[in-house]
Amino acid sequence: MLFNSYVFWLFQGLVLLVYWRLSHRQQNGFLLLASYVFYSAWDWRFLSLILLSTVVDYLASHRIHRSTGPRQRRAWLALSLGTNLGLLGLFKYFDFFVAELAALAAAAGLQWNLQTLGIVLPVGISFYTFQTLGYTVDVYRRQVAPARSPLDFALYVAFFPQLVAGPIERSARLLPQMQAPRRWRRGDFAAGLDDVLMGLFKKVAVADNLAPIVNHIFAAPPGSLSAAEVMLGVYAFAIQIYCDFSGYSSIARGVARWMGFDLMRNFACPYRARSPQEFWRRWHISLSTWLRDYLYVPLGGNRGGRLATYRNLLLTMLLGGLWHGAAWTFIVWGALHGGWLGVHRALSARPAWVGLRQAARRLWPLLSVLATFHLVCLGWLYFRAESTAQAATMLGRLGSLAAGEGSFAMSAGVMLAFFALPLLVYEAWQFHGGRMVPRLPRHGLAYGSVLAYALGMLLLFPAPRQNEFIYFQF
Amino acid sequence: MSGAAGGSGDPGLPTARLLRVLLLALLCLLLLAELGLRHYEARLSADVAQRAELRARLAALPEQGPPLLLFLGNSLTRAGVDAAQVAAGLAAQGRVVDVEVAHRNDTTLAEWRAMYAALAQEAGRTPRWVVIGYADRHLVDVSPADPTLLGADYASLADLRWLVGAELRSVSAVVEFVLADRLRLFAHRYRLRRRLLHALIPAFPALAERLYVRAPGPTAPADAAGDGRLAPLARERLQALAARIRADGAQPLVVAMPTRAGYVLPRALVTELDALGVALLDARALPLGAADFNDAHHLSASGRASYGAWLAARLPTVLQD
Repeated sequence: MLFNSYVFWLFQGLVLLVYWRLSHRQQNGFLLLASYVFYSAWDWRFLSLILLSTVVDYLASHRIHRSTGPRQRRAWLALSLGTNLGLLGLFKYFDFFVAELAALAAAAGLQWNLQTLGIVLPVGISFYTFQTLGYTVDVYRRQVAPARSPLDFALYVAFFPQLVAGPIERSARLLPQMQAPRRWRRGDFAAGLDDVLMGLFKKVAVADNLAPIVNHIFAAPPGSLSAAEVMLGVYAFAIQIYCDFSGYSSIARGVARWMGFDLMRNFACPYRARSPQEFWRRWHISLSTWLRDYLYVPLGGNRGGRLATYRNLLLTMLLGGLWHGAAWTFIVWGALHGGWLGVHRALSARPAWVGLRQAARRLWPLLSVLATFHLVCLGWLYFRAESTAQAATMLGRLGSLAAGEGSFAMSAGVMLAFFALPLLVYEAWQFHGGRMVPRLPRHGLAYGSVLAYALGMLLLFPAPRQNEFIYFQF
Repeated sequence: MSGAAGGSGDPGLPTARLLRVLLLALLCLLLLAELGLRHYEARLSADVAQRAELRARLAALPEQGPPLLLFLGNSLTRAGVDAAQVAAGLAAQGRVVDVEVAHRNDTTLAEWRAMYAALAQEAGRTPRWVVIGYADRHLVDVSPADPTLLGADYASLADLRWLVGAELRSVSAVVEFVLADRLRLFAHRYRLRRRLLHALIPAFPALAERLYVRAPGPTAPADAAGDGRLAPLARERLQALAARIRADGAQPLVVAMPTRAGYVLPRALVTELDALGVALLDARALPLGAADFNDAHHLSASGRASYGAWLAARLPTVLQD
């Protein structure tokens, strides 16, 4: 049940119709049921994994809270970690590691009869396991109290707007919203509609219209591509994945808002970042902060000296890459980001613009944005490629400035600009003083024009083919 | 928009009044656009114009007259069948018939039953024979029917009873069908998009050729069960189409049309047509050269002439009176 499908909006309409007629406890029960129905639309069998995760984490959190001995507390925490990471390992990584091990053994001349299981990846497993893991760790750290009601906790795990592609909400933020009665507040409908409309615009009018360009370029034999086509493919993918994922997050936020919930913002104009570090403060914020709090900091963060910091950054990003999928392309993507974060940290001791002339200093912010964007794009090349070999060949074509047929790149480039440029300009305009702030009076003609533009694009330029959200596969 | 922070009472939030005004303005605009489109839709594309012409021609057929021979198919039939030539060829052999050609690009067996049902209803005279022209995978295609196409041009809400489950197999498909049936703006959304993009990007048609190559729909292995029979969905569709044609007292016929690349006629398909009692004419081996085709599939004028002559010669052997 995709957010950009009619079925979802029928479902959502029915949910809203019933939801606001119920008492608080009934609302939670009804939302839990709706969330399970929503998830079952993909594959009801995998609902058992959500239930397992819910039961184990609910019990473990209470045991951790009640236990006084550190060994007992650690044992219950280990049970929760083992269950969630075990599910993730089995369903997401088992086949990859077995295949790699078999390939390694074969290369060494050994004949190991290792069987992959051919397991289907349950949608959203990376998101909800990280969310419940975070909750148990928070309880262990005594940062939050365990949820009293199993119903509230089950809803926290399975809340349908953010179940399959985040944002990965912290228990301290979302659980209290589940536990407290919700009221229909003036402005909620308009605010939710604003988010939903913008999310649909990003997904349907931008991301899905760019998908054919990206797919065409990445499906071509990489050796046949010109440098301009490689560049175009990567730029188009950078915009596609941003609009696809931030569009999803925006719709999730809007839909949740209509039910009285306030989900976190997952994106904040990431391509305006001036450094890799800033990029990760703006891109998939719920994952980057999760990795920071539950991985980077426990690893030692920046407390163990320079080398240890670099190691921790690299390890965190490698695992962040692996979180996206069991493939070498994601590992390389993570390693690249880890490397850039380390290099940036090493260089940031002395601002690079020191010593530059005044004119060059003025240009420095723009240059840093451009440099960061292109580093991110280099990462996207690996992220989107089917294999590291494909990415390397495409990079080679780019590096050698390979010539090719110019007309395709030219007209596809115009198409890219047509769909993406207005959004990027609008977001750049919204970006002020390092953060996204509303620059338009919300009752004015200019704002009305923006809404009308988004609606017009949705109605007149729907992509001929509806695509799944990219992050569903993670 | 998405950048706006917002809790309730946030001055940055869009006001409900603005939204009301906007939605009202949008509704008015949509209504105007819908009315305008209903008026000018025939100018939107050749497909739409052809559909309107066919509807008018069929409706104008007098109840009494020579028996009607209807060709049904997709762009292969459009490029390959010259109604006047076939009629003249048959007349030369003493068979006076009216010939009509109904075609729609990118359609397959999935849409042809609904297409036939609509045409038969519109026609002032029921067809006596229906010749289904196909090539390669068109009769073993098990991809879902196009709900927009059906809703816009070949079925109405009254047909939902048989379409749901048979051809509209998801809630999304049903919603799309209903919207296309009710709203021309929705029905023509991709045509409008194409026209607008073409106006903005002059090279768009060439770009679209490369970007929007229609992936071949899932083709059921012709002998999926290994028992020389078609996949269940393809078989059901064939049976339903033949039954629908026969319900009007007409005779269904199938022609395997020539293509430049050539293709295999699955044994399972031959067996199924045989079991249904549907005559199959095989034109694949028609001696045609490169000049007889416009591309890998579609016949050129010279190819159409040869194919027309072949049809006129072969059809009388299978047409039942």
